[in-house]
Amino acid sequence: MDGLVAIGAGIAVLTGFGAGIGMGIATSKACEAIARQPEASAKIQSSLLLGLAMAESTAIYGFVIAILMIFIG
Amino acid sequence: MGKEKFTVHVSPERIELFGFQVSETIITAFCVTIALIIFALVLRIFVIPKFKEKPGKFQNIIELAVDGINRFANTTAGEYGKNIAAYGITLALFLVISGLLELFAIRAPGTDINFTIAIAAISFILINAFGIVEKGVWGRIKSFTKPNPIAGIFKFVSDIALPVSLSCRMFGNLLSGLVIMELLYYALGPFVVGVGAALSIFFNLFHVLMQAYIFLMLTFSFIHEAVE
Repeated sequence: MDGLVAIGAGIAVLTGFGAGIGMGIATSKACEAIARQPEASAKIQSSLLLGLAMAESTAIYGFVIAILMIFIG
Repeated sequence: MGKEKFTVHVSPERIELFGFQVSETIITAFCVTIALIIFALVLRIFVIPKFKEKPGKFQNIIELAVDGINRFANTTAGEYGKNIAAYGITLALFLVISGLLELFAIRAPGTDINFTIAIAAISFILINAFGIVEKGVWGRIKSFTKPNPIAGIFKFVSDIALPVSLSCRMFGNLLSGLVIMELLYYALGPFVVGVGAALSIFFNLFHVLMQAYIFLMLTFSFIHEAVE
C-alpha cells in the first residue's frame, strides 16, 4: 500500500496553497497601510504577525498529517 | 551509495533508565531546567546584592531583558501584565536555550508532542483562571453569549480549539525543521560542512525563536481578551 500512502500524503500538503495566498494578501495590505501612515507601523506590524501565525497553522496541520501518514501509518 | 534507509522518528527514542523507559527529550528538558535553576539561584544569592547605581555591563543586559519582557507583557495583556511576565520569561528562556541545543544535534523538547501539549494546557488553564478571577464563574459563561447565543456556540468551539492549535503549531514547525535538516545531512554527504551550518541557523534557530514569540503573544492576547 505504499502507493496510496504517497498519494494521500501529497494531497494532504495541498493546504499550503491557500495559506500562501492568504498570507501574501495580508502582507500586501499591511504594506499599503504602513505606506499610508508610517507612525502607526508598530501596531500594524504586531497585528500582521498575529494574523500570519494563525494563517500559517493550517498549512502546518497538513504537513503534520503527511508526516504521520508516511512514517507511522 | 551504500547508506542505510532514511528514517526519522516522529516520537523520540526511549532509553532504559532505572527500570523506566524514558524518552530522550525528557532527559534534555530536565538538564535544561536544572541548569536554569542553578543559574537563577547563583544570580540571586551572589550577584544581585552587589548591583550598583551606575550599572556595569552584565547588569545592563539583565535589566534590558527584564524591562523588555515587562513592556511586552504590559502592552499586550493590559493590567494583568505584571502577573504573567514571569511566566513569559520562564517559557521564553526555556524555549530559546533548548532551541540553541538543537544546533548541536540534541533533539529539542519542543519536537515531542507531549511537551507541547503540556505547555498548551498550562496556557489554557491560565487564560480561564484569569477570566474566572476577573468575572466570576457565571460571568465567564455569560460572556460566551454576548452578541447572541448562536454565536456563543462558535466562540465556545474556538475556545476549545485553542490549546489544540497552540500545541500543533509549535510541534509542526519544530518537527518540520528537524525533518528538513535530517534530509539535508543525509543527502549532502561529505559536502555538508559549510552549507549545512548556514541553513541550520535558519531552520533550527529562527523557527524556534519565531514560534516561541508567537506562542507567548497568543497567550497574552487571549488573556487580555478574557479579562476585558
